Amino acid sequence: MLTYLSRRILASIPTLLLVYTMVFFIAHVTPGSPWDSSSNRPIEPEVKAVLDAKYHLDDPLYKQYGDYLWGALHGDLGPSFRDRTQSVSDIVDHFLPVSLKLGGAAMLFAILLGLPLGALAALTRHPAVDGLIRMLSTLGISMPTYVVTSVLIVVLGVGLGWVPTFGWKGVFTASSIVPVVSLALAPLAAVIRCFRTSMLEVMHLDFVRTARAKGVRPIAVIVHHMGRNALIPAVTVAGAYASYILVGSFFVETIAGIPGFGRYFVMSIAARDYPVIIGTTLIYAVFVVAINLLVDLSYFLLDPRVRVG
Amino acid sequence: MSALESTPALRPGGAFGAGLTRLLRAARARPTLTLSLLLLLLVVALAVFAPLLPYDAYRQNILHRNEVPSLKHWLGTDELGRDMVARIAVGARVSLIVAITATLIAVAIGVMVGTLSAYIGGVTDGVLMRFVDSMYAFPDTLFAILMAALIKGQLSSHISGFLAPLAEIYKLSGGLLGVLLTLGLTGWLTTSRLVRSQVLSLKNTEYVLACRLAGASDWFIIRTHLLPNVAPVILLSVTFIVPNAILLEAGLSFMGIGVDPPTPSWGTMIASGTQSIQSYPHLLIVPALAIGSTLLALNVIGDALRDLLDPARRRSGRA
Repeated sequence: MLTYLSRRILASIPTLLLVYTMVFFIAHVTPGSPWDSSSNRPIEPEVKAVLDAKYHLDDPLYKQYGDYLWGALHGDLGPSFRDRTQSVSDIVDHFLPVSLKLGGAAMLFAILLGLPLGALAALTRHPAVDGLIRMLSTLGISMPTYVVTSVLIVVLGVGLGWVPTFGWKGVFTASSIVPVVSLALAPLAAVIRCFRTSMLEVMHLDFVRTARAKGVRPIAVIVHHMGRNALIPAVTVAGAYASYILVGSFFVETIAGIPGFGRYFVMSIAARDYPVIIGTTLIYAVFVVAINLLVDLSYFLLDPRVRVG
Repeated sequence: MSALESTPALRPGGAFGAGLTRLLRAARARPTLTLSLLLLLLVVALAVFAPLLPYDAYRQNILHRNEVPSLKHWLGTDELGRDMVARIAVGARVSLIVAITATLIAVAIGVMVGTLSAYIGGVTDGVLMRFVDSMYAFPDTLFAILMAALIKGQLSSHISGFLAPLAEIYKLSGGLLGVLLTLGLTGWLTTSRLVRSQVLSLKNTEYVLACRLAGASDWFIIRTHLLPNVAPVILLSVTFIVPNAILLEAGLSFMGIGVDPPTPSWGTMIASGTQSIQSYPHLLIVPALAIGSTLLALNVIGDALRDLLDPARRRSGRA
């Protein structure tokens, strides 16, 4: 398992380097310096030279490439050009926790609700339940996050007045209902669909019949014998939706006015604040790679057969 | 050679035509599919006949701002008094142009990379597929956002030299060119993988080997034997690319790095609708439902097409 783990970590290095290289060149190939975007008046050449020197923009490109990478590896993601009182690392510290809570809550919601519903759907196989799941999964896959968020806010917030339409007061308040549900809809649909299919597959296997025959309580058969064996595809699917939640957070946070990382990212894109764009993208890249790794590792925990193989 | 040329390979046009016929036959049994096809037809009709609508999508009328739907303005008017039906129709036009063009670019790149990768094999295959794998590990929306920001930064600034004509086209297209380039350049990954695996399995079939023994050139084999047989796989990847392109265009426009105002796009309409969510929710709901129902229809149709293309899937009775 250790060799596997180290091989996987090594394999993710080229991915991260590729992302860094692409983002770096995207940021530096763009014409115009970051200093002339904030006002219409042209900046004095002397001032520009001093600013360039301060932020090392006058270094040759390969040196900037190496320096930034070296800094990033030590946790220094550079200064923000737009908001010069903060470094990118400050911004991350400030905005990331909100997004992590929001995304984590959405993922938990999808899994904790998706697994029982998927199991229920597999066990009853009632046509109405089947139809409902089909509808939910098509809706979840087709509806963009911004549509779900908009509709939920208009219906629950503006129409019924049950939840606030804007802002964020924490995970365990009414303000989190709309963002969490709209982020969780697609992964929820996917988990239900996937878990139902894999439950149906293990349902008729010999060991399930053996467990039933020897008198194990039905609920224990479902949870321990069937559920555990059917879990792997569902975990894979849930892991794949982690990046979906990440991207969805851009829209949800912007619409619902949540002061998170995604909203900040959208704002820095609009302001062309390149160090922030590079920094945030790198964090997203590390995040996505880490989630993929975690999903792979979970196979070891869930399935003893993988450990041997 | 004439005997080889007349090999009854599946013609690409034939595959798409047969797909459509079978789709229409399947629609008779499934009302949701019929409804989806009708909805898609409506969107296409709106896009095509947008100039014939009674109101102009750009004409502002300060006296009739933010009106709720009425007999005069079926979907109301926006914050500048522009008719929402007209704006939705022009937005449908943008979505349609994006869907068709971005799909063509993405399929062209995907087929090229997939075919070359499988046909040449060896180091080329290794390098290309490593690259595709690395890109796959990363959310495509994030890449599209970065690319769109770059292209917008490049082309919207005052530049001279060989890129100048491109910048001119960019301005004329209202930012559409940037979206098309972005989506085309990010959307080909799935196609290249599907095509590659198909070509790999075809490459060593008897008739391709026979063809090579007869002295046919690589290009001849690719053109007459491999590409026509890849057509169903291409159609399969189109069912993924089209909804994704529409989704991404709206997302990019929503963030302000897609289509530039005043050109209406469903994404920019949603973005401006969120500004007045409390007082005029219809400004948000109308474009949101437009894109939501279009994507829903496209996914239902895509699902049906995938069922038709893959008999094994149909028999196993998917969830």
